[in-house]
Amino acid sequence: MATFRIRLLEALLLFSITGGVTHATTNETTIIYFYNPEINITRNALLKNTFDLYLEAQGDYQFQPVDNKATFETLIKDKNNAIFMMSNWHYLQLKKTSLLNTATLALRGTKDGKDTYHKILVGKQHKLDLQTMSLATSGNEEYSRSILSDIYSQQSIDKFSSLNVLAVPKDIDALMAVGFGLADAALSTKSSLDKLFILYKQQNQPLHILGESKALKRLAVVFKQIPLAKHRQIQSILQRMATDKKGKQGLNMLGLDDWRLVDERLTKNKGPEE
Amino acid sequence: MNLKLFSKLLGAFCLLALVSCSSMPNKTDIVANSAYVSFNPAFTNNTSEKQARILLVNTNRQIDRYKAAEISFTKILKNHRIRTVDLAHDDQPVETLQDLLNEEHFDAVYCIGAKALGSIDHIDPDMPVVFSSVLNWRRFNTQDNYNGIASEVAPEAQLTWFKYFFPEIKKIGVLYSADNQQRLKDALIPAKALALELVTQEISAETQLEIPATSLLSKVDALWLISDPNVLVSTDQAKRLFKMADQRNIPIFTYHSFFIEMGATLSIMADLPTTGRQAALMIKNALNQLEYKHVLQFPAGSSITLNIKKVEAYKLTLNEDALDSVDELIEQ
Repeated sequence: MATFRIRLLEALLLFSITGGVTHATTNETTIIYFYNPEINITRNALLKNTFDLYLEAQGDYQFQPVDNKATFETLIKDKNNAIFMMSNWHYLQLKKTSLLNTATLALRGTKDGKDTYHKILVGKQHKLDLQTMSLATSGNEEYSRSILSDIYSQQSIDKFSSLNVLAVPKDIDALMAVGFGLADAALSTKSSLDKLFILYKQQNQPLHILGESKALKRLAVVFKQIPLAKHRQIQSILQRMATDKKGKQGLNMLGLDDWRLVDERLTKNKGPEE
Repeated sequence: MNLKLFSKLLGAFCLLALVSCSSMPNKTDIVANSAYVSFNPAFTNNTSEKQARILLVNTNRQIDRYKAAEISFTKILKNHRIRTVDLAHDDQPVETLQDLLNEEHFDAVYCIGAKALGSIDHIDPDMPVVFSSVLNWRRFNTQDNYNGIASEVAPEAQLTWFKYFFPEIKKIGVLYSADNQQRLKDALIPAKALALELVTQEISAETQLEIPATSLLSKVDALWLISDPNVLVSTDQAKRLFKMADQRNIPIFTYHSFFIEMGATLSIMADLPTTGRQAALMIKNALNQLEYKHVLQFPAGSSITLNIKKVEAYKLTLNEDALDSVDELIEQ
């Protein structure tokens, strides 16, 4: 009976190991988690739908936008064999923690060949009272305050403590809010202002650039514990988006037109890529 | 268009009728606080404020767009006491609200939807009233203690989006009745600034739409469908208009996404969470001022639906950069 028990245990053990091996080698769905405080979360369903349509044709991949920062960070902590797309602002914050210790920055979003952009503060008046001005912005409040601190690096952060923030869904909404007198200033990108300028000269003319951020890196794609072969495969899938109709649509929805490979080792000596 | 869509349209017009036609009590005792201090749009801030009691009256919380406005409103004013009333199944909303206002002191009222505002308007409380999602909001433009957010995106903003998505569109046709004459006149200036030509055609409720619509569609690159009950007198008429435009490969741009189901190419709607935030900020501003003046704002946020199938069918030149502004993409 004792021998039987041992053999049964061995069999169970063997079963569990082979089961485990089978599980590990089976094509698990690789999930790309997405969180960006610069993009309105109401568009998450559309992003998921568009990315999933592209990714499903490439294999067992899924796109999963996340509504809030805390959930996203929990996923980074708990999930292995996963990909995380995030704003560079968030990426730099996480690099200071242990959350990205086992992760690699693999790709960077680009637009017109550039992986950087500038945020600008736009207003109708040349001078604004930073303490009382109303600010329309498409980013969340924490992100917007951080960008303002960057623009006004000489000012104390307390200067913005009573800032009045109106969150709007899009950059162009923020600019039009200033144009229509709904806000004193807008935090936007230079390219959005240029677009409005081309479109609507009459409305745009009274808008002045009051400040400009330093060059900010575009979206970061971080791979967490992805085996090398798969790593290359996913890089290639994401890079092919620019040449695929649905993939291109997904990129456009993120305000991008391509991805650029990043070799984190090259930037290692300089600290996190900024 | 199916029955469901028709019922939505009917519902919208019924709500409009409810507020427009209900008999209102005299308002001779309205306290018009000196209306000389300008009412600037208010915004969130971190300064410590006195906790206020706010009555939130929702026409129907089951309706997603009303719920969205309520959620973002309460989030901004989380440090205040908000009592919420849902009028969805209330046959005597005026009595319900009057009882509430008698029982408890409130500093301000926020009304979401026409039933909520119509009911509060019966009572005419002497406190700031802020409203949103009311189709005929212009009717409340004259009351000093009423502040609100228009139900539709500003016409000039709609035109800007049209041009942004479709830069090659030059001539936009509009069918309208006398009710909208001034609005269209106002839209001519921004249209010109955008290098757009508005080709307008006035009609009346008695007009057979086919003849003026045929003539208009032959002259334009796109049709802008505005909220005008004389243009949209029936579902059948709306259906015929969409069919006529489709036969001529003329895209229709509209103010509401329910027309996408009928074949519209682009719709620009107010983003309801932003509207709720604007309402919250208006209330904060009203509470912080001893004297106030009514203010009406257009929505600061947009919700955009694009029918990509129609874009392809009509071979329209779409600005691909504009896709980063789309909230809903229709592909089937």
